Amino acid sequence: MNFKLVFTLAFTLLVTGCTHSIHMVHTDGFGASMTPKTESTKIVEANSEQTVFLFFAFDTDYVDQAKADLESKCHGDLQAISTQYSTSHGFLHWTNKILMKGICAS
Amino acid sequence: MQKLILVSALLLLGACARLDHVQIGDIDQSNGALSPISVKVSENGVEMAVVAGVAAELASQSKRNQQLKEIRDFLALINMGPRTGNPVFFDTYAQNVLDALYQQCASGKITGIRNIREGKTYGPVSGEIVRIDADCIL
Repeated sequence: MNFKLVFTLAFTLLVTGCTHSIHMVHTDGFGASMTPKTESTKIVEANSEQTVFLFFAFDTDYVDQAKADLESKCHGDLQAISTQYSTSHGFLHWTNKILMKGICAS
Repeated sequence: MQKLILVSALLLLGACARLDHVQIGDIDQSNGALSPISVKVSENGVEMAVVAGVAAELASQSKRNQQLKEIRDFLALINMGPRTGNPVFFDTYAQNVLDALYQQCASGKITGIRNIREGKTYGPVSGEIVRIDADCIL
């Protein structure tokens, strides 16, 4: 490897250093009991992550963590939840991410 | 040069739609008339390792070919992880679909929600799409 190639690789790392992939976005729960958008409704959200090194992951507890976090942010009626599952790529590792959003009617 | 033109033509002609995930929820037709609503967000995706691989195949000099292959391998190493479609550089493009859907329906009552993850691919480049189609109960 010569200097030019090392420079090119470093530049490439800088430019494309972190890519992402959204696998799924799911929304549901706007049922007949759903309240219209008013001042008493607000959107709450919760994030959780799991870092995976070299394919080794031993649980998926971060999903439960996001759910518990979302529930703790709304003390009224939590309706219409959306869930986004994505991955941020990295060098020999990656980070799985869950983003949950809901409409809180208090 | 002929190789480049041929590959470019194949990439342009090879544009394809891709469906990754679809899911539908309850359909309530008993609480009023339904009006279709939709939210669609997208981001440009590119598979840099494939781009470097194609460039390596096109390179006429063996030294340049080798360098591009090393870049391809390096890119594969620094972007490890599961992927749906091509990777994107920003992962925030789909964060506001819930709010956008809610705003389109004055009653707030939405049924028949279809969650769709799809893409339009042009070789190593693609449009990565998240689309939510639904019906607003009027």
